[in-house]
Amino acid sequence: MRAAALASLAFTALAFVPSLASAYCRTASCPNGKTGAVCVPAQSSDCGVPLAWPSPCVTFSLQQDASVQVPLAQVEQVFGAAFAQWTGADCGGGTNPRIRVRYTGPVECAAHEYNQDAGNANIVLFQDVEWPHPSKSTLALTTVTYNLDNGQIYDADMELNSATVVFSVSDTTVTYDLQSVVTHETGHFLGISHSSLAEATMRPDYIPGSIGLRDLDVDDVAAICAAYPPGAAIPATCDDTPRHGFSGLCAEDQPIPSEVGSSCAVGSAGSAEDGSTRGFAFALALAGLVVGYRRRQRSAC
Amino acid sequence: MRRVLHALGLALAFTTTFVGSPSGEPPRAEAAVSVLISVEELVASSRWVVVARAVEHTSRWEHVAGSRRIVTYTKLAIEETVVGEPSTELVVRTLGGAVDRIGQQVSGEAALVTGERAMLFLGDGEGATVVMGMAQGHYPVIEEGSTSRLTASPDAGALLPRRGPALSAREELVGASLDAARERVRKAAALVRRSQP
Repeated sequence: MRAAALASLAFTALAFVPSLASAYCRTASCPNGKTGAVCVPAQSSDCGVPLAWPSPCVTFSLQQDASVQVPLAQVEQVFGAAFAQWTGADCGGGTNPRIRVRYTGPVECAAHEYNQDAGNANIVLFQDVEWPHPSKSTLALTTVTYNLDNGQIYDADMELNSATVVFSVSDTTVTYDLQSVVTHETGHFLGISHSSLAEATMRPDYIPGSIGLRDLDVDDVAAICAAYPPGAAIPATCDDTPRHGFSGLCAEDQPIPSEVGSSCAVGSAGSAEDGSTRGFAFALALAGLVVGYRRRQRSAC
Repeated sequence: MRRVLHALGLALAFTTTFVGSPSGEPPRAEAAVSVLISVEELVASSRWVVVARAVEHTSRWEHVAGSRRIVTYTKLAIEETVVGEPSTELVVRTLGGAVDRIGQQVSGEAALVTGERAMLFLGDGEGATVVMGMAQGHYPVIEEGSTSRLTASPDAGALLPRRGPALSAREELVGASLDAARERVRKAAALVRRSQP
């Protein structure tokens, strides 16, 4: 009876889940500020411009404290292996995706940030003490910042919930396999969305206790090769500096280049209000200034 | 003093941001990895469970969850309070959005669409009302003939099966009629109340 009820519930639930008829998809910037996807084969819900890093060379950084669960050296290995899966994918004829991901080394900043007037880093950090988001069941969260018009990725940061989740790195005693989670998340870092294929690393679910997502499926390979088609060798001089420069420090700890003559205006604190409401917005910004003058000075414009 | 100023700032933000007309919807969520949570877990963490329609939204940069992010405030017209103190209007903060031609996609977050009706599990989160369980606490309602049914949040990210026998909220609520979902939530609320000391 219970089995029948479960089957019925599962069938009903599946009937209302968005269509899973296609294979790989790429995250896309769609009209009116929406984020959607562009899939192959195409789906009726496809929209917009696929997200991708504008340069063939990109960096990532690990927060220097890593986790009490997994030391920095081991985390470096995990991320190195995960990115190597994607950048080393076989696009045919001995070619690889034209994207290189370099590890900058550990950084001090322990926050997701995209700074519009200060240095940046694509940071991976473990939240050991407290998971700051309203879903304690979340293992990992990736935030991607991008240009709405052309889909160029500006910044990507990844948070891992080591406060309430026990990750494993073993091949045999597996709880939530860090390598699998990270390989999946690094796909998102590169602009790949979910796949409908059960074998794909980018499928939207996997069974805890499995290490099956560590390697890419042909579907994942097709996705990364489409996102970064093989081409001329990436020159050694390729500039992989993050947008607005690299800094391993959070914005509030970075030196302020110029206190005078800055184009940073308090009233342009990123809000979308129109002119009729700017008086209130300015008052709000002033109130915020009392709380966090220095932070706002660095990153609010 | 800081708390007062912060609260004042938020109040002013609400006052100002909903005066102008919204432009565009917040980006969808896509990339989190989460374990499925049960109806009881959602109810236990929620201050309200409501059926509401998103009427307008605005996005802005804010310091939230230890980071400076784009967040979206969505004003909800409450049609029905299933659990919690009745209210006619709530403003909910979600992570991600679009400001000044910059988009920020935050994986696994609920994507509230203006005009859309949904059942929402809401609670307190760092000075604002938030969707508990992120996308797992958001169930858009669609009309099928004379029946209202719950659907899945557009993209909840990667979802992992629960350990143990309990079904997840998504398994129980997605596809359920609004009437059945309402009853299920009230039953869960009663269970949660009984289990509390």
